Amino acid sequence: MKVLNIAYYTILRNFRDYKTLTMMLLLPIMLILILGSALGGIFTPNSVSATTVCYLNQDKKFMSQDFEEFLGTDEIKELIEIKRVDSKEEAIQLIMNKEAASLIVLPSSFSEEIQNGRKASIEVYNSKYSSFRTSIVQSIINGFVKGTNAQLVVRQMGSSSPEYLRFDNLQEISVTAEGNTPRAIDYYAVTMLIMTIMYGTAYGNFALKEEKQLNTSIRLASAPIRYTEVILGKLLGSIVTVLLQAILIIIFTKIFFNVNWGGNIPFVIFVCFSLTLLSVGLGMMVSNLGKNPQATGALLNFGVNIMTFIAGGYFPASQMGPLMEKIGFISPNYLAQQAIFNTIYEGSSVQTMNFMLGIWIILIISFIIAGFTERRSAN
Amino acid sequence: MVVEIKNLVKRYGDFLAVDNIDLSIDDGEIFGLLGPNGAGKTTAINCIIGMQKQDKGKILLFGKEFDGNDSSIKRDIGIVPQDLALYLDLTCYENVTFFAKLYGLKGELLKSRVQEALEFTGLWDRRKDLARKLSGGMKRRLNIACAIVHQPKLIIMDEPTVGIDPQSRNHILQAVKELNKKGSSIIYTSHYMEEAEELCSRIAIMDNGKVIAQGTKEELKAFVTVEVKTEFELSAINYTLISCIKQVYGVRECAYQDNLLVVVSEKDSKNLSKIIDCIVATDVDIVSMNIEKPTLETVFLTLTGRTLRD
Repeated sequence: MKVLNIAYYTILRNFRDYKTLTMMLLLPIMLILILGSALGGIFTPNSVSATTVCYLNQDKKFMSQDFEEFLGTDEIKELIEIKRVDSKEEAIQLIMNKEAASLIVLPSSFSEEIQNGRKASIEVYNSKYSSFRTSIVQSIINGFVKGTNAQLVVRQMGSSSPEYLRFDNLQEISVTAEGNTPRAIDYYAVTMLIMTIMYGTAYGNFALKEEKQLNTSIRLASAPIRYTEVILGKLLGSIVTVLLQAILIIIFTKIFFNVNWGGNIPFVIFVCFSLTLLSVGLGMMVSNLGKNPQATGALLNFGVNIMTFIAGGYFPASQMGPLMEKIGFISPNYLAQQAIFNTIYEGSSVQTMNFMLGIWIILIISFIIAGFTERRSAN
Repeated sequence: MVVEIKNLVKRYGDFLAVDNIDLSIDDGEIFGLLGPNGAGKTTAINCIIGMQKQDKGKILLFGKEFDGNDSSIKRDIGIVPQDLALYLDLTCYENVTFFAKLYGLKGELLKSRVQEALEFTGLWDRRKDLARKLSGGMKRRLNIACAIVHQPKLIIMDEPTVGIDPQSRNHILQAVKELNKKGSSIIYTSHYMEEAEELCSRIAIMDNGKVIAQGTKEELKAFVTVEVKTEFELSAINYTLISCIKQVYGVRECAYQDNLLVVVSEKDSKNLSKIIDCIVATDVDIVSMNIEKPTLETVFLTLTGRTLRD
């Protein structure tokens, strides 16, 4: 009961702190609106033009004819435009000038090696500047290689030359801005919600230090209540405060911005709850490691902004290059964002679980360190 | 005995904040702990309530050794800290209720005790106001209300009147007397000697971490008094009068300026009637007379060589 008493009055006081409340509620809503409107263009899907690919045939025998036939099909022509070259140097120059994305080379021994049942290879040289387009080329070559391998296996098993039939057995689902793809406002609603929850570190930071500043720690210490009950009450109050703020943002953005929060709201709230635990625990941990709550507060504030940035909170990480995509993983924001996006857009549940696992590992570590350091400072 | 402290020592690194003190406070008394800022009063109190662990010595509260954890002992203590210990963003009612609940009060008992505490401190009419909106004196009173809501047997008041207006100070001093009448024992720390004179039955004077004297007010005064100074305003002063007074037993000094005569006598010489006889014999009228009594301030000055607020 005493824990609930402390938690209740902590929540009451947090919600009367209008300055912090404005920052926790109004700021993210404004950012969702501003970023969602200003950066809408990034989220509008564009059609992909055909990728120019240099082609050097040094073989010129029967297998190369098969390959050229394959490249000449309508489906492949939609994706890549073949530019024949006479030398590798010529192709490399075109790639360097960004006039082509890749070079495909059929070596002179290609047909002979296949005929003798030996391993043959198609050489592909890719530009390092266009990862998306080179991945298309790579996929096309893989498709040809798999088909050729299958043909060879069938032949080795004694069958006559197999015939191919074309089946259009894939149902094409159009991905549009109105469909299952996030609009800018949907994206920023998630990232700003996550940022807000991470700002919950401020509550963790001040939870106990504030009692010392207000001098109420003397009353708490002299009252018939255990120190662990005080900590639990303060933690519970801070966690409920941040979670309520998160839920308010979800409700507001759903009603006023028609944000897509998906069909599994309880799981979205569970992600918020997990991240809330993490942020409050992290705040308490940093608070205990430093002496001055104002200094640790400023540090946490800065940290939250950095974490939000590298997780693509202000600008999608995919738009900031492969390096940013890679370092995004170190941010708790990234883990929570991906878990929520996966839930809303029905992505891989295994991936979602992995992201959740990441959050819980960080939060458990934070609480262990916070508990250890709190004990030290209490002593 | 409510509090018994034996050989209490508390250090902060090399600094000796409390130096081997012994104190005992009886049931139902107002015990004054006096001393200048930095004398060690607050540190001693923090040790008593278990907020700080002493380096040496024993603290017994209500006859039981107290290490800061015993809830049954804590339930009977109320602390009014030197600095305000309030949540400024809660109302007066919420502040008192919050702390009352920590002492296990609930239901109707909680409501009635909160009302009682607020009425006692004159804040019932302001119960819905946020603490931040109160004046300095009212905040001090709310500070007291939070400490007494659970009706503790021992109330520790650490300089409760610092920085407040005379009206609020009087209110607080009256409240201390009332609480004592209701049966609470009180430890009252202050560096205002006149407050201690008015309230306390026994006093300990601390300086540099040590208790340099303790006892009743009278005992302390008697302990330091070595002379009695008497001032007379007379219709006239003449040589015969001065020479008569100087011959009275116990008179150490007799000085005059205009019609003002100052006579300094040894303690316990009981010579006032003899001095008056001299005045009457020389046919001089007494306009006014004042016997200067020693105060606690004099006691402190005598013991330490400086005034309390130096």
